Amino acid sequence: MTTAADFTFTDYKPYDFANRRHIGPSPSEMEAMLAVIGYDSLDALIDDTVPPSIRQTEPLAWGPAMTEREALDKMRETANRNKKLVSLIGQGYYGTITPPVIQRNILENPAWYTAYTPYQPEISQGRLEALLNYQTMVCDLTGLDVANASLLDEATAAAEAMAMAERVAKSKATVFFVDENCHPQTIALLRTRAEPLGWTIVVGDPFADLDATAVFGAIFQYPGTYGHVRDFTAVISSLHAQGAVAVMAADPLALALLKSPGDMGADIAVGCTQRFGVPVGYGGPHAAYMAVKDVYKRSMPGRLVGVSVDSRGNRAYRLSLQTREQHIRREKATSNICTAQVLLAVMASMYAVFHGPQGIKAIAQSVHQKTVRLAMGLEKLGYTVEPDVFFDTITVDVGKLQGVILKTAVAEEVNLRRIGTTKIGISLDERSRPVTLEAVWRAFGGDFTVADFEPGYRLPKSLLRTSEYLTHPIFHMNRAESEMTRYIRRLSDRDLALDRSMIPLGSCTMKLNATAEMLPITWPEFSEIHPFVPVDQAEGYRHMITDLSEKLCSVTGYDAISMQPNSGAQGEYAGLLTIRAFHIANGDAHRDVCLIPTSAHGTNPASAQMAGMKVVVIKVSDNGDIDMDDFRAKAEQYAANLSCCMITYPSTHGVFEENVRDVCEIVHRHGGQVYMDGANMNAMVGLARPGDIGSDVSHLNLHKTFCIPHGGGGPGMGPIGVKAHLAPIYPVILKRMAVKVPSRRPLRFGIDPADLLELLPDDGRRRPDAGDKGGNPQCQLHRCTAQGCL
Amino acid sequence: MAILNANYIAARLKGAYEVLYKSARGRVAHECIIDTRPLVDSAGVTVDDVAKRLIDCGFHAPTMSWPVAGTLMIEPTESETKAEIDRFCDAMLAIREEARAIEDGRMDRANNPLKNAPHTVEDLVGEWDRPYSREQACFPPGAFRVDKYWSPVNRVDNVYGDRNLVCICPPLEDYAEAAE
Ligand SMILES: Cc1ncc(COP(=O)(O)O)c(C=O)c1O
Repeated sequence: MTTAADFTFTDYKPYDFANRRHIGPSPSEMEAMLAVIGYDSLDALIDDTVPPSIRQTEPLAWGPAMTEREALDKMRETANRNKKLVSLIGQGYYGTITPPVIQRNILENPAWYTAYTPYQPEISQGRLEALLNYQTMVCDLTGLDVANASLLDEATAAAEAMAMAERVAKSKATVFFVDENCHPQTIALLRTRAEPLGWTIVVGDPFADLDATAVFGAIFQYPGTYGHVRDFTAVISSLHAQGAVAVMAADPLALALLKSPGDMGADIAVGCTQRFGVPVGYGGPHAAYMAVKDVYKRSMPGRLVGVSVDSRGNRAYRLSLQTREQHIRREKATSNICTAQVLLAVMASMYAVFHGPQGIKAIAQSVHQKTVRLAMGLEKLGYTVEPDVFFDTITVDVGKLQGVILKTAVAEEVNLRRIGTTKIGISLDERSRPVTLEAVWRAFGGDFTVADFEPGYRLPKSLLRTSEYLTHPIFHMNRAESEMTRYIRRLSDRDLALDRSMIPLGSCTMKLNATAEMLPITWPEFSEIHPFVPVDQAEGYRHMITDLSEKLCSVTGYDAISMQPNSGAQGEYAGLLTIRAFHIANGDAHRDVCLIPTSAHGTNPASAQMAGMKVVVIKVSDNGDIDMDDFRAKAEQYAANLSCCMITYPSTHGVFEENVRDVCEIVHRHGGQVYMDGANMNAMVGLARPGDIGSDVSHLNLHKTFCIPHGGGGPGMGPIGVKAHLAPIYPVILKRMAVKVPSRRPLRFGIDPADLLELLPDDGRRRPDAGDKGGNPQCQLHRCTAQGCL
Repeated sequence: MAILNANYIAARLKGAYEVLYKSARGRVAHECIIDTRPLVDSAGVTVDDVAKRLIDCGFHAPTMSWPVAGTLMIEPTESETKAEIDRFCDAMLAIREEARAIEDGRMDRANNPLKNAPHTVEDLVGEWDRPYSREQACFPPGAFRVDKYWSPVNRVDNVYGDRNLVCICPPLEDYAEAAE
């Protein structure tokens, strides 16, 4: 027998997630690196790098770190607090089946999810091809000429379309007409976006209330949120006659059976490709699309993949017209879209490749036939089903029975949509089974089986699709899974992502996206929750968001966090709207000047412009810091109308500026607020907090600092933190947002109501870095310590 | 840790490239901007050339020309090991040496590994009439020998693509042509 004396005990922790897995250099490597720089300890280096005036005094105290396994167990527990029912709520979010070959080889494959935006085309040919397929798919289905490679969500895409319509319309009107059959979140968001720009939103019935002479454009939903399938051809021509622009928000699956927006004459089509194999995930992320007529292609926002040649004359793909993003035309910026939804666009395009036109058509037909069957049953029970013709969505007026039916449905494990106080909406999808239909019938008091009804069609004959789609050979490859697997592999092999090498992209923070952090995103308890389920079914999400918000508050020194914005740029916009609302609330509506240094990211001035602010540019001195003389002078000059300044810290030049406190102080003295762009937060976590330095609002790029993968150019997530005085007027939606200070005046920002990213589960487990001592930042559910990381 | 990694890169590249902005104490934060503009005058080498040559070394280029035109902004993040960062620094230093060869007149200003980057398998199997070796073209410091990343295309022509905007899958005939 051995005794303790025979045994050399090792204190090595094989599952230390926080330090061993997340931190690159080992302790001995760190020593060697410090020696090269000329320091004998990390503390000494940090003391010399981060100005003492901004250092945070207390380390983050989140207790001891969890192991990877403990963290996953904790996530499991959280997941189990969500209730997974069948949701037939619709309203822009539908059940879908992610083909397993796509789930495993794309969504769960670091070659795809760890890649960056394809700015360097040579090493991005694979995802560029996938995105080109996406654009081709969108063009085909919408019947339009040019499509971009994704926007953030349908509502934001609609807002981008409105802004684009205003730019290109000959009409000089300032009114934008919105079909009352648009999804409510789209209408809300259009209102938010229009207001700072001085445009008026008129909501109504396009066939009764639209005065084409009075608008610069109009948007119609197709099929409508309550199910209507209508022909907009005549309305669109009346708009064109007045120099106004027609936008259609169209469901891509419905377009497999229905006359396309292009065939109706629409100038712009937008929509969401979620139901092409991307789980609802409590509201996101999903790829929205925008397609336009050829004449408008150079005015389109977002990223556009194009075909070019290489130096040998061989075909090569690349991003076209890169006037956006970092290189955004500051003064002329019209859109702030930067991070988009590439990973989800790739999934949706692969769904189309996987199914091909016959498959997509078959799915659309089956969804429609199921809906017809469902309607027949309800009619047999004596209910009136609206509308007469529909694709996948019907509305039933049930009068006083609304509450009872909804409740019975939940008991049958089905969520239906509550519309007003008397109606119920039902949207079917490719997941709907005979048992689903039978459960719905039971909720309405009927005892049928699907065999009781003949499948039929209730599509308007005049609107049946005649044009072809997905004709390109790529959508006609052999249906054997081996082909698909190899195609996906071939494409990813062309690219460089984090699974092959470091990606030292400044301002992008391409850090580890740990596998354990990615696992929960495909757990059905997270991925299959519809964004509009009753809150008691999303307890796990609520818990997670609250916990993450609290942790992010402690990291940033802010008092409240909103998880809504789904990119850094959206965070900027939301933050600026908050500042704007603050001034308005104080009777200072005239405060509209935003000071931005020339070194700022292009999204900053773009967001400011969208928020109705006037951008005043501040010089940068030779050493790269903000030119303090110029800053003081401009702040003084514009004092009367100063709204805010937007600064990035540490600066976009990669330096901790010593005078950052002065900047904040000057702005405050002149009645302005400070927006601190948090893109570079990775330099500060645990060392300094924007809220302590004097900033009032910041966004955090969770896809940078907090380990959400970049997905080849999205998804992202840009939650904003605010100080207490801004919290009451700050974007809060459906009590789901975890804020310490309850909202008194919810505002709708440029974001979908449920932009609680599907990817949220993993943020929880990010281990932001920064050489902090003692307790390390631990988000959500797991604890990481710093031991060994220093 | 991110700060350590960034300052380590800045220190290792010292002498070869200028770090554009530092704090008063000579430190950078979690990223640093290095200036490649002097190479334009001295060797005719642009920031694009450096970025594309990094592909031959098996790297994704740092952020290019932002926030300062003609520079590279490097952010290593804490996740990277010393070995990986060293591989990157070796590649950057070798690129500086290749530019030096042009400066010294030892290498042609127009036909050199930087201007011709990235190199593809197509380049190798074709006629080799370049003033540098295939070995130098394809296996610069940083590149893995067995696990070499091969760029699937040569340098992409951006201007052509913007002038002739094609944003859907090209027709089948084009595929056939490309395969020839
Ligand atoms: C300094 C800075 N601000 C804002 C952004 C925009 O963030 P997003 O791409 O998430 O919209 C970026 C993104 O690169 C950035 O570097």
